[in-house]
Amino acid sequence: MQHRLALYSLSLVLFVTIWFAFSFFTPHYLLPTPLDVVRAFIEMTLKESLFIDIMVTLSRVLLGFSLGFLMGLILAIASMLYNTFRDIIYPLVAFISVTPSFAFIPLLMIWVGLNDMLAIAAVAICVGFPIVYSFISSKKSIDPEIINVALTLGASRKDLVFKIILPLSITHLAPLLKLEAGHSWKMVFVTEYLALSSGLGFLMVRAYSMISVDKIIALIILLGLLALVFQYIIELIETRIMRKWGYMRRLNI
Amino acid sequence: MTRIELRQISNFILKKVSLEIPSYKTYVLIGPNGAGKTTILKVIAGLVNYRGNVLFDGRPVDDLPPWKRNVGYVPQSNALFPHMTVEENILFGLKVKGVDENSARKIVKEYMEIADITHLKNRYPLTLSGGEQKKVAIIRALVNDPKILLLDEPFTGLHYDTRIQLVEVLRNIKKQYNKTVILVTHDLDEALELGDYYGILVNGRILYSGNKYGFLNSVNKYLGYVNALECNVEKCMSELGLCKVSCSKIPLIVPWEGDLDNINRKLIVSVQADKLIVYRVEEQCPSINCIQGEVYSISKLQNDLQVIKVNTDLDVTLNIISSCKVSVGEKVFVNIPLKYIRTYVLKENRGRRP
Repeated sequence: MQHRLALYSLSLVLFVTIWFAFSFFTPHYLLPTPLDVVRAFIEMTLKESLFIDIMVTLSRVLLGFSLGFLMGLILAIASMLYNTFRDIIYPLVAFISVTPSFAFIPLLMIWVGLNDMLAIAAVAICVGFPIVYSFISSKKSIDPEIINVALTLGASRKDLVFKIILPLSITHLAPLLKLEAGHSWKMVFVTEYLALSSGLGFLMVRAYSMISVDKIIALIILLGLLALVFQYIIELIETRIMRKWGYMRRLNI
Repeated sequence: MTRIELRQISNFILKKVSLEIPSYKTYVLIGPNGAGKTTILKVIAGLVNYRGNVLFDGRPVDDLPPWKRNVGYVPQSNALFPHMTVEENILFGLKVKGVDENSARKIVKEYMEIADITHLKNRYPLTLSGGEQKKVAIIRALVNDPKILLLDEPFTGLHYDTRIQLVEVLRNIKKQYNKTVILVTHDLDEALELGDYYGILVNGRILYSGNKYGFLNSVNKYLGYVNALECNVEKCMSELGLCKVSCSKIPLIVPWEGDLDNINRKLIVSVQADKLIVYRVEEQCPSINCIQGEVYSISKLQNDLQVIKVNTDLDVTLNIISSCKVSVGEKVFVNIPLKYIRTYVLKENRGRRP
């Protein structure tokens, strides 16, 4: 682990050094030095509303993600309990899951309007439908003998869904949730960039209109870090559950 | 009590299988991989579609779903619920049947003590060893008090010591709870150790079903990968751990370390077909356990290997898996190496043929 951390640090130092080197030979309005970017970050925090915009974007991501997760879970449970319902929603779910999420933004701009709900709805769609899709498919990847044993032990369909399939689906769902955590940030950023007047996406539009490359880079770094932390938290929850069940030891991770 | 009857069962693998399994006995179904052994268990449990009839104590159960058939099923993979602790796994069946928490825990505690797994109750299945997992799977099936216990290859992949332990647990369970047990295996030693009655299944067809004596006479004929012989003990040299036996007049030296009373002087001798060595010249064959015979059939397997069936001069069929080039009708000498021979006491209990 220490070895890995040392390599990470080395890669970071190398990157910043190369950046420094390049910035000396390039006009500053095109490629500012790392110090200029730090300065731009401090300026945005102190003189502009960076902190508030971070909170606005974060709340949109969290609300959209939670709403999407909840919606996905409810639809998934219903589809596992009732085969007819599953067959009715499956084509729609499959279609929405594979369509690029950004394509829904113009439609949502007209239907929802240019407000907070736009970003939240976009994230909810981006997260919710792949979850349902994954649940329906994960039922097939659970060891059929587990279902067989549960049936001989007297489990009803409800018991199967709530006590076996749903908890076991976490193992299939976790990688998807991590991926969707990253997508949520992309989705919120794009909606803010295109249609909203607050949040980090909006700050980016403003920085672009003033051709402040230092601020643009500062915002890119900030967005990347926030998305990484969000993804890391989800990974942490996944790891804890998997370790508790003994999966990690088996995989020797 | 539960007597099980299968009448003309057919599906994607089974071909008109008819069986009768007496109550409270252990019925061992033996056959090669892909013969349809597991499918028979699933038919009894109601987990696969089939044509024909399954009867428990004379009553058809074909319309009953798995949760109403009252059978305990232990698959080869154990299929423990990985997100539940050992105790929760065992409690599952009682909980879904609505048994109140306190009584359920009491029952579970009692069963866990029998299998000596109480210390594992808070562990998760993936953190257990293969043998521990198997014990949990068996106890989970038993705690619901099923009429029939279905065990699919219970010892596959387990270490020899663990197997012995598990055999003991199964014997205790059988003694204490009096269940009809159906055990599926491809391993002759497992079969001989636990069975009261036997069935041989090959390519979806039952070739033999009956008691141990008939089984011993048929097994070499129907299964090419094993050899089982019924032998009379002539003399035992306990200091060497060896006995001189006569298996249908074939003299053999076999390992035996237990006691043999005066009444019971019979042993079953088993040896895997791939452990036998075939020689074309008598001088090369070791002097102990060398049997003369004639090759009467050869069937090809993969990688140059073949099943050679040899009829001995004393009319006993031996199966040998070997790459040795011999031809049908050729006189050969077969050596049964002492270290690969397993011996079992043959109980003088000629039960009725089911």
